Amino acid sequence: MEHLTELVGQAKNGSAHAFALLYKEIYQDLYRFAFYTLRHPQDAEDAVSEAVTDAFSQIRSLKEAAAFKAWMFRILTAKCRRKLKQYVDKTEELEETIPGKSRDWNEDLDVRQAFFSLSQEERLILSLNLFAGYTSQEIGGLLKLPSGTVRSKQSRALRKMEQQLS
Amino acid sequence: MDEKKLTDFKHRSERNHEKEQELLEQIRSSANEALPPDSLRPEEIEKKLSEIPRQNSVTKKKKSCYRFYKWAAAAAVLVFAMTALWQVNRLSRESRIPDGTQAEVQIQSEQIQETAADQALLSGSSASDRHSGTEGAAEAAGETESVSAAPASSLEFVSDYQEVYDAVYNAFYADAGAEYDLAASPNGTTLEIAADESSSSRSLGSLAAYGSSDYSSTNIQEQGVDEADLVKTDGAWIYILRADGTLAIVKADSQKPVLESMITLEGITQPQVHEFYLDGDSLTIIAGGQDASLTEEDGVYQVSSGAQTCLFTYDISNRENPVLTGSVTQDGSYETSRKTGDYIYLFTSYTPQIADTYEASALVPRANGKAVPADSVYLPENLTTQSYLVISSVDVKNPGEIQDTKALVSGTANFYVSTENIYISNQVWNSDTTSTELVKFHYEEGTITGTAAGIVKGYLNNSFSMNEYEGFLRLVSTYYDEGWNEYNALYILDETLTLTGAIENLAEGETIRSARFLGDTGYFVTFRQTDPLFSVDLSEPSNPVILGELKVTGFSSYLHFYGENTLLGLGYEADEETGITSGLKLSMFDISDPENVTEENRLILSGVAWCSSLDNYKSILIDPQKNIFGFFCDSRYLVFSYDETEGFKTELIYDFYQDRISQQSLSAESVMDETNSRGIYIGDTLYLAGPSCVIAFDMENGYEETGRLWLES
Repeated sequence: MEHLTELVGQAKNGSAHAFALLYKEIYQDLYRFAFYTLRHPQDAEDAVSEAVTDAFSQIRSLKEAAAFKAWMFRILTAKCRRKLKQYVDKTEELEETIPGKSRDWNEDLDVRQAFFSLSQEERLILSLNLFAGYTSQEIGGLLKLPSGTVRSKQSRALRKMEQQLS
Repeated sequence: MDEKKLTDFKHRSERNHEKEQELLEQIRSSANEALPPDSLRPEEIEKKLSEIPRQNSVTKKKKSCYRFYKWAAAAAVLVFAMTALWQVNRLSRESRIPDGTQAEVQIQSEQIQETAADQALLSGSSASDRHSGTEGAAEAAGETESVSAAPASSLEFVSDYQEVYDAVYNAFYADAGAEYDLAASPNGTTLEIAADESSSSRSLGSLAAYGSSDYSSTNIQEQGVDEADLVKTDGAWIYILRADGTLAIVKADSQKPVLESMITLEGITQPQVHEFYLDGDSLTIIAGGQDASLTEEDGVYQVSSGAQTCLFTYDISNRENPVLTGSVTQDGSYETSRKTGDYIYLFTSYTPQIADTYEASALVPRANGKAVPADSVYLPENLTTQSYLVISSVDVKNPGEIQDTKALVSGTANFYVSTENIYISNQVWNSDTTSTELVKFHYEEGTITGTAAGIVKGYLNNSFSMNEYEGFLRLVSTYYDEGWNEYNALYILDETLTLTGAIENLAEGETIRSARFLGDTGYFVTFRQTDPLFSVDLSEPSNPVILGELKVTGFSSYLHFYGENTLLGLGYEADEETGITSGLKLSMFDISDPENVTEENRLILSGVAWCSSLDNYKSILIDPQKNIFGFFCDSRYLVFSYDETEGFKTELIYDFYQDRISQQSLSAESVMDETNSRGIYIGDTLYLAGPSCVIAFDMENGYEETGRLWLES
């Protein structure tokens, strides 16, 4: 993709515009990824914003233009994991006080609520699959887990959700 | 399995697969309506990015920023208003405080009067050890009128937690409305820990019979102050802490390293290990984890309220059978630690839970299960965050007890620990200035005493930006003036953290990248497009003088004195015109004449994108006496030696990526991962040791691989 290569090149030369064009293609998924992983819209916004700033200043370390998306998600994953770590300390327990799911929510909210009831790791794994498009192999590489483990964790998480939703 | 069963099985698994796909699709569509906020729209992002001052290099973000970003964001407006001063008295006295801050002092004078009431409370407390170390520290607080004239530091203990509550509540909640539900009761606490990187230690005993006395130790900042790490050796064994909560003890052997035993943390579920210390036959692991303390009470689940950090100390005199000799816990997530003599000093960050009333709030951190008494808590006048820094000391000879605990209501940016004092820096952002608050604790044989507080302009690059020498704290910072022009400064503060000397307005438009101090001389690197290495004469603390400025291309992000008259700089090479980085740069500076520093040799390695080690000094192996240094770069481990005339010599380039490819039978997790592995040497053998394997190389024989041990996960 010549276009992509060109934009990455311009971004490396400091063009915020080129970077924004690259970002435009993926930013909705970046946000959804962060939101579903972190469960907090504000934190998701912060995470994406921080990731973007970091990515822009480090874009020269990106070797292959084609890897831009994966690279962005990698940086964002690092941001999200950092925040998740803080949650155990700060916010996680507050979530638990959310009243049990009420049945009259619409299906999407139910699904989201069920997703949010998963553990941090499960949310992260599923989000990487869903929004970043990572394979279980790639997720394993990122999280230092064997890909088989990633797959079984994912299945377990989905079964958990199924039970909640049934 | 007969055919029918097989078919059933296949059907079932297909059905499962279908179901999974369906649910995944449902999740995806449930996210469709989760639209990014306007602030993340590409146009906004573009605007934001073009406003960032151009960073011409691979930048390193400050960890600290992340840490309190959250709070900063939550209370941005308030922080704004409240940030100004750590210490009113000091501020108004010092001429070199950022102008903006000065102004703030005036604006806030009313508020100061108010806090004076709190100060009165402060001065009411009378812990016996307070002020020790601060000569003539008067009871400054309470004297509203003369706040600015009071010579004392404002480091005072609180009288009770109500006072902390009032201060925090007023600073962050009063106006904003408390949006924090309290999920947990004040006492409902839990085990948990945040990860960090840090380390060091050198074992002293029990080596005579085995192993070599010629081995590497963790790269630390300050001689005599040990730091924890993930891999250590005592010359006979290699100790490797692994993310799964185990610690492997491996008998070092260049041909055949052998796993001697494995320590598994007990009494802690889902342990999250941080790092460990090694001291002869005593080994202390720093960890945290989720306590299984989701408790049910009247049908209501109480979730534990916060993180805890634990020290587990083992007697390893029998390496085959380590025995737990004691453990302590402390509230808060792990920040860092140091070890001096027999004492480990543990730093954690504790977040209180502030509710609408004092009674409903959880404010009291605990050390080993006991509430930290109010008279051990220091409360600064102006709060930038509601978290506490909790510092405890533990004698490794008595590892089940905490010797002393002090707490400080403050965020932290950098920790620097000399052999006698602990310096905590905290960054404060203002509308138009950035300043760094400093708090100093004296420590001795496990006793910790707050002694002084101060403030300087700008922000610090990292802990190497601070250095104590003969009672003076020297530091270098980067700041912006009113017009957002970047400058750098060097400050010298005396024992009470009062400014005694300064050089400002250095290197306009550049940022400090690294610093190192040696006795009366300091060296620091600023960077925009080229790398001036400054040398400073600090022999007269009231009158520091720039001795020289060497301009070279690229910049060094880590400096290490390598031999008597040479300084090694590790960093990136950059284009002189554009500042774009183009590879890894090793520079050896001749500092025999500080007024005339020269670059004696350099080596550029192109094709290098990112050296994780340059952001974590403890992951660097460096021993000038042995003439060896090594570190991770991308997926490779590089080892060098240095010769004055021949320059840098590449001894080993080990590519773990190759390893990954050739080692087909092993999954990706089996290869070295650069953040958790270290290079160490014992005698003439270099070991690359990490969570999944130990590889031995013969240093005398072209670094040929001689042995390897795989560790089971």
